[in-house]
Amino acid sequence: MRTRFISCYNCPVKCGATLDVPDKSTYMMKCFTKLTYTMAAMSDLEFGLTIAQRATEYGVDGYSAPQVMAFALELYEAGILTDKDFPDMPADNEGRFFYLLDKIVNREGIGDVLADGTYWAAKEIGNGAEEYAHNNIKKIEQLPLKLGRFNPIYFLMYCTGEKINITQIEGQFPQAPFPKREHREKFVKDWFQVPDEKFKQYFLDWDIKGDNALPYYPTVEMCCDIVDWQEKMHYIDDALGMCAGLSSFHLKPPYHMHNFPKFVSAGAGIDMDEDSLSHAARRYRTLVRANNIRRGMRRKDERPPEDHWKQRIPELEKELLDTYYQFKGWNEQGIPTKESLHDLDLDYVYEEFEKRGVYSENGATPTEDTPAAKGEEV
Amino acid sequence: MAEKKKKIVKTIKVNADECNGCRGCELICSAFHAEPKYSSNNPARSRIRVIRHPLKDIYVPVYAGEYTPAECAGRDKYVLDGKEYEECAFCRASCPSRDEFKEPDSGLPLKCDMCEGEDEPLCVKWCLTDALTYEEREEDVEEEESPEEMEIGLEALAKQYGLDKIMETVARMSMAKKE
Repeated sequence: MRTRFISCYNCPVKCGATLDVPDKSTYMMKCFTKLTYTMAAMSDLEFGLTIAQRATEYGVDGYSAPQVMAFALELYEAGILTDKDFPDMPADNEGRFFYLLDKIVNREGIGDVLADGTYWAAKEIGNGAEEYAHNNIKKIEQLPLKLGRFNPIYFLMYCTGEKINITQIEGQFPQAPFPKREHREKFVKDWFQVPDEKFKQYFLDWDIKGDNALPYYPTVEMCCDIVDWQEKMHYIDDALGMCAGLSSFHLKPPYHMHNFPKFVSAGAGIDMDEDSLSHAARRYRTLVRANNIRRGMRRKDERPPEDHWKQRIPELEKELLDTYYQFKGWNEQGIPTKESLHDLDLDYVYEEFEKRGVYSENGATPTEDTPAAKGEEV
Repeated sequence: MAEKKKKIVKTIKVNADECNGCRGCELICSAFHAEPKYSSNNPARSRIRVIRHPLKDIYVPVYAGEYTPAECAGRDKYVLDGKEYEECAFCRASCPSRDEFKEPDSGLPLKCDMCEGEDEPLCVKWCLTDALTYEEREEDVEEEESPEEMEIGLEALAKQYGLDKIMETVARMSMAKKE
């Protein structure tokens, strides 16, 4: 079915492809969609690529859509949704996914409810449906990953990421330790992208078992550094209009903390060095958080899916969040403090927070149950 | 008598199957030929363009050839491996019927110069999928001595009036001048 790997304008990475489904028009796909429909239906690649053709033509994503379809069929199997909700649905598994796709896109019947995603659909359906909408963070569907051992770096990234997807925060630091020290030594040899030499040591000492293994190594402090660096690179990419595929999403990318300031200076004429770029990224990242805080986001929302890891360690998770919040200049609720906002020339954000009372309980911040008063909508 | 001579012909071999449509060739070409060099990049100024229809899986890098003041009659279609190509997809001309290979500000034709002074054309050097290959071919060229312009004109006159008539006329004209 694949016709050709393709690139965006001026990019050496062939991360997309054109695909040809027999008797259907050709379509283009980015990397991840190739598996998502297959996983949702527990079917094969041929089915996944065929339904992705129709989904792409409709303009539906390959991330939330397959999950909400699988969610609907789980509810059907559990008896929470019944035949009444699925008039004329085919009997075969794959046929049902095509059926649901059409219902969602046309917002017909149950499709109208499902089109809002699993979180909102579960609320609307009720009757225990919420339990099945278990793969969300901040109300958005996540990668369908279910792992064993708890990973503190990923815990922090899943919890505190505000671009709502792990691929939008991870990338610069290896996902797991390499088995042998000699492999790690080889890896760090030409790892010039690190913003600080300490990252090399963190990685060198990271082992697959023993004292320096997951979940207690990297230490909480190291995790803060590692997550902060990874996230920073994504925010810089976004600010510069840079694709994460050539920078933040990859190990040892061609664009990194040491050459970005030079590109910014050359391209925009702004006098920029690594410190000022970091500062700008921190300011931008804090503004994103401030916006979400104003809309009601708090510590309670910063949770990975309960079953993401089999192993969960509540006291370590608490320590991680407490320390990371402090590291970022946020209070125990994850709200940027007066001092950190002042450091970033964001005093007006502090004033707004004070006015809305976000530092005390929820203040005037709207919630799902208590919408904003008239004139105070955000 | 015509004489055989050796001549080096410089070409770029295009493997359209390998092209991924990134247009890096257009970027480097327009940057190299910018004034001053590398001061800007603009695909519209490039002397190589990727004729590209992703949904038809058509990717043909074409580098600029001769300028032509008039369109040709060719509007043929070619089907290769089930894909329909327009004749223009393979044509290198800077031609009134297309936008490619014209300097956007002046409208003057652009032509590939094989990046004179470089080891190889830079589009070839920077093509990361090896869709472009530089080739030098030695070809035998027949070189005839070209007749002078007046001789061409006289030959045409001789055909029409005959050589005697021409000589008569020339004699009369020179006499009249002397008088």
